[in-house]
Amino acid sequence: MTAPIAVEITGVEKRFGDHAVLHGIDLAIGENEFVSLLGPSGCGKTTLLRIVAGFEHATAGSVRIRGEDVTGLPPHRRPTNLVFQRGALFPHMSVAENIGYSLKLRGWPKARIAARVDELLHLVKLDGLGGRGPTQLSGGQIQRAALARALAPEPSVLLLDEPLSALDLKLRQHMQLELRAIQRALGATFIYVTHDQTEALVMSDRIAIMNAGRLVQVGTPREIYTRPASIFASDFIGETNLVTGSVAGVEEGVVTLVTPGGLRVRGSASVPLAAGSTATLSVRPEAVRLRKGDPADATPDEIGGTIAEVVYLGSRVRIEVAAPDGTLLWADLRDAETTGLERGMVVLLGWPADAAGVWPGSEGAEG
Amino acid sequence: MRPARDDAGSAGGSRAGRIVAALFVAVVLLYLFAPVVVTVLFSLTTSPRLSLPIEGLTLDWYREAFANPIFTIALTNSLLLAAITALVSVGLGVPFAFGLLRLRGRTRGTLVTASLLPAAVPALVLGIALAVFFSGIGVAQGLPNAAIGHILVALPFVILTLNARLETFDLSCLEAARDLGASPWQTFRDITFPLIRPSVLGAALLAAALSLDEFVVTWFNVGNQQTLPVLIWGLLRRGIDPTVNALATVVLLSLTGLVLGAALIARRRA
Repeated sequence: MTAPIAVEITGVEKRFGDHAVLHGIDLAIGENEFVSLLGPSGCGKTTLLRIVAGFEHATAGSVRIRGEDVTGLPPHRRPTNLVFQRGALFPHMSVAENIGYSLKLRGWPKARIAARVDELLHLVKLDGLGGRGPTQLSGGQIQRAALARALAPEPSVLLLDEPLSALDLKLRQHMQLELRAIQRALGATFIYVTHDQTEALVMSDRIAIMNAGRLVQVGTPREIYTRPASIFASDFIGETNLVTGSVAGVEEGVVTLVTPGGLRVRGSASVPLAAGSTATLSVRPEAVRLRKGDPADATPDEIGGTIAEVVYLGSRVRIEVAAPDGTLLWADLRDAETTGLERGMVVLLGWPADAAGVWPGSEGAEG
Repeated sequence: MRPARDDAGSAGGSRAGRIVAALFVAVVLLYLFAPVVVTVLFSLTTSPRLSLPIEGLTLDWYREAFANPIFTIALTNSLLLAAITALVSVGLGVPFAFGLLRLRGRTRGTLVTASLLPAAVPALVLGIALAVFFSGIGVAQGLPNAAIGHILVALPFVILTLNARLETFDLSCLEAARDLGASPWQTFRDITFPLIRPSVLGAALLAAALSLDEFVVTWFNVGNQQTLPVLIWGLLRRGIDPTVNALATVVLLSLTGLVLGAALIARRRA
């Protein structure tokens, strides 16, 4: 990373009694970077965000913001601001008073506060709504006001705790783009917590995937989607087919797995794999090719199977194919490619070996 | 609406049946309100006895009651006790209810129940227990003892109402204030206090109302001091005097005012 570092999280651990929530997290976030902490609920992402904000204290490790160690500082002494999940607007204050609160605490004169509040209202597209009370706002407007309030004191880092999770899908998609635009316009550093992988892909410069209190993978959305570092990452980001079996052989990085039912599949090994060990292959549905044909005609790269289901998804069609051993595989095709494909039809499936990743372990294993 | 009325008709039965039902409701309401109406009515009639028909209306009994120096002393004492009870029980109840808010699950439930149980202790037991306790430690009866008793009576109700209202309190508002740069004190001044003010005021009015008409615990602990209920009880021992009706009406009106005030504040908050 060439940009100067805005937030440096070093060896952060968090335990509640005997229960460890975070295990040695190391993460550096650059200035002007939009980083998402992505993971299933209970993975520790919100705890990590709250440690950066100062609401939780790390059991071990440190947090530095622009080089200054803030590990021991209370929230009101940190150059961070948090956008809460449900906004947490002060119900007894108007929108303008909410936004101006931090500036009033800093002793700004009234006229200057009013000017800054207007500027922020304009930024979040709430022009003219400053006089409203929080109960007179819609869900989306509440989050806009909460964003403006958190941006008012020009924090070094803006922290966002699933701020869009309470909104409906259309509004959420719209707000994602808008948040991204605001972040670009301000050149601010955002750390965004979410459990929604689409949200993370749409908005982030980099995504940090967390699972069970650990960082699983950190990378750009493209890196994470195309080169997931683990079974968990490949399953959590986007959709994928997972096939577990034992390693029958490795040849020039291409692994052949055999399922308990005798199905042979091929993919590229991400780490060295021992013959006979259990491993899992992941292949994205859009990488799977499909042609009509008899299993007798199959090339070594292909699997014969029967179409179990055809699901129309609008822009694409998902074909579910049952292999002879019972394994179900998805293939996503464009509508035009699916002419003549019907349930019960015998087909051949295949994918380039480098489009599928293979990791040691089985689907249920962590990491 | 029409089908509903038809249903009611078939369920309510005949016309005679409905008249009986209406009469029943009227009798129950009469039973509930007659004592109040009689008291207020006879505090305003010229006749010194409870007699009908009413001969004339007068405010003489109020004049007489207010002219009595004992009445002024009793009223002052009652108001003083009500004020102290409101202040202290709210002062203890607010931090307690806030503490409960931060607890979870069973601990919280246990503490709520524990703080409410004393409300189930009969006033008679409470009054005697306090009297025995104070005499045991050698404290003479008097207003301070009564005040301690009143707080004991009011506190469970104060905790109950505050706890119920604070359950909807969004603690993340307080975190938001801290996050925006407010110190713990500034957070209390700017956010916590303005948000809980209506609940606290309502609880204080409730405590004052409970104190104002408390008789049993007061009687065992107040010694030779007077409060309004104690004075009325003393006057009644010398026979029904219309000034008693006047005094009772004063207590009734103050209590109604307090309870209505508490209800209005609660509604405005909602």
